[in-house]
Amino acid sequence: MISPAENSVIEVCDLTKRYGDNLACDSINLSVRQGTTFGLLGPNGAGKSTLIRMLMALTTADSGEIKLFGEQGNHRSPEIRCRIGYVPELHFIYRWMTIKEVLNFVSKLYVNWDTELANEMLSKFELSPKKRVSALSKGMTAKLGLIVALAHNPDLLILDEPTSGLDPIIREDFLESVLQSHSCKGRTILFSSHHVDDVERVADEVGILVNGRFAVQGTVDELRNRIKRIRIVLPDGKLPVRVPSEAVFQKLSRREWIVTVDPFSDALFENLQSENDAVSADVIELNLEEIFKDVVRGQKPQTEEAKVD
Amino acid sequence: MSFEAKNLRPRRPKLIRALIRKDARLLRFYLRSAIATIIACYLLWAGILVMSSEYQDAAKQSLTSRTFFTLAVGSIYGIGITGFFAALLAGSVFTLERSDRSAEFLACLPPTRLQNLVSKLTVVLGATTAMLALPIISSAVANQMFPYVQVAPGQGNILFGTLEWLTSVAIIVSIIGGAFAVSAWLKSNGVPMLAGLLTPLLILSFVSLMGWLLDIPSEGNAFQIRYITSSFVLGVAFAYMGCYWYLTRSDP
Repeated sequence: MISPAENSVIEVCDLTKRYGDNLACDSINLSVRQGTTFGLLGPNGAGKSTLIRMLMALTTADSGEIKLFGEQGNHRSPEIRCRIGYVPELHFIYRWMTIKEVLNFVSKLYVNWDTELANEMLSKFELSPKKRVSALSKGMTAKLGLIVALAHNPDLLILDEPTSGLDPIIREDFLESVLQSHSCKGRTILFSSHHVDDVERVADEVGILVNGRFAVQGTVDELRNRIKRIRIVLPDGKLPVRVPSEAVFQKLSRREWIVTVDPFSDALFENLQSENDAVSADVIELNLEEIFKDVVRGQKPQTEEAKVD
Repeated sequence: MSFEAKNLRPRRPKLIRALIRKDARLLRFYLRSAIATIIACYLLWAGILVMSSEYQDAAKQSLTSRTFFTLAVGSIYGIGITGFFAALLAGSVFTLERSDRSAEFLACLPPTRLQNLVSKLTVVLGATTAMLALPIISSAVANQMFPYVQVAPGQGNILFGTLEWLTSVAIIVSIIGGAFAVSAWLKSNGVPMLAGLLTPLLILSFVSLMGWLLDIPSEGNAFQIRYITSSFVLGVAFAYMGCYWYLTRSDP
């Protein structure tokens, strides 16, 4: 867990949300410092959207605390909402309005609306102001959503799987704009996605949410240094002596035993090697996608094949 | 916590104006239909007067008489149409945004629930008052014309007096209250609209039942006055309940 910093824009403490028997968020703790981009990774149904909806006060938490810009509670004041830009996965912008009408309406609600920036983004995204929202494709609606979220120069940008279902070109344009927006001084971004490469491109810090809990949190470099895969070739007819407590995922395939550990240490590597009489052993550096896959697989019940007695 | 204190609170008049414009556009189909129906009602009645032999005899086809009957009868139908559209508007003002989930988009923007509520109430009450204004004005003009027209015996009672007007307004208040209260809960406008239209009947049954149970005398206008009072009180109470539910519900 990231320790709460003095200048945390988002602070979440023991946040829990249930939908009937389903525990969507299970005592989540999160702290996002001002100026950082936090990548929220997780498989479908991990609780990412529920967490974000609670941050946006679209859903109330069963227990726990949320603080945004130091303001605590289940409701967001207009001042706080003026400082947040939110891009959801599904956009519910008034479908009967034209793009021009949407921007005109929204511009009247924000004190610091930047018409120039909105027009600049409109032409960059090649959106026709006369077009009705109902006539826009999913990608175009996502772009309009990003304009609405960015043109008031928010201090906090919350993106909930914004590139989901977009074609690679639109996805690229979208991420480019998010990266440009990140260059704004002091802007904090919470980027949720299950596209690991998207998150890796924009995020300084990453949290992997599985089954409503953070399985791992840290900076991208920290995670790469901390979580590594050890590959051991066992002698014929032998099984691993023990599963280390640091293991987040393991897989045994014939004589090859692969175990992903968090945290990795040279001592642990040497121990595993010696206690299993390893024929050969090596350490494999992982990229964020591999870390994500191993962490997620490790949290799920393993198949018979992958189980080690 | 050290965050720069910024004055980002939107300017209220500008914000409310934007919300009212949005809500009026949200309900534009119903508003246009209401205006068209009321005008059509007057035109239709004028046409009937020209064609109907009964009124041809009674009004002797003078322009004044035709105008009198058009305005007097048109105002009665106008009230009915206003009641119907008041139920439609009050029943749709929350539910339209909830059914297409644009309420979620709105919930992430700076306006508070109270500001949204003020805007919605302004549009519904403003539109209903405007719709009601036409029958009231036409009835007032018909009243002024009454001494100069020849009407068949018994046809003078087509003109509404103060008590009839108060009853009409009370019914419309109860319709709006009932539709508003149910609309604050649901996602589609069918049930709230029906609830709004049934509210005056429920209040009528309630007043009759109470009168019978408590043996309250109903001489003269006593029953009508009790009904008017109950409709006003319950209509406002229902509307208040709707506002309270809208302001306190957890989801948008």
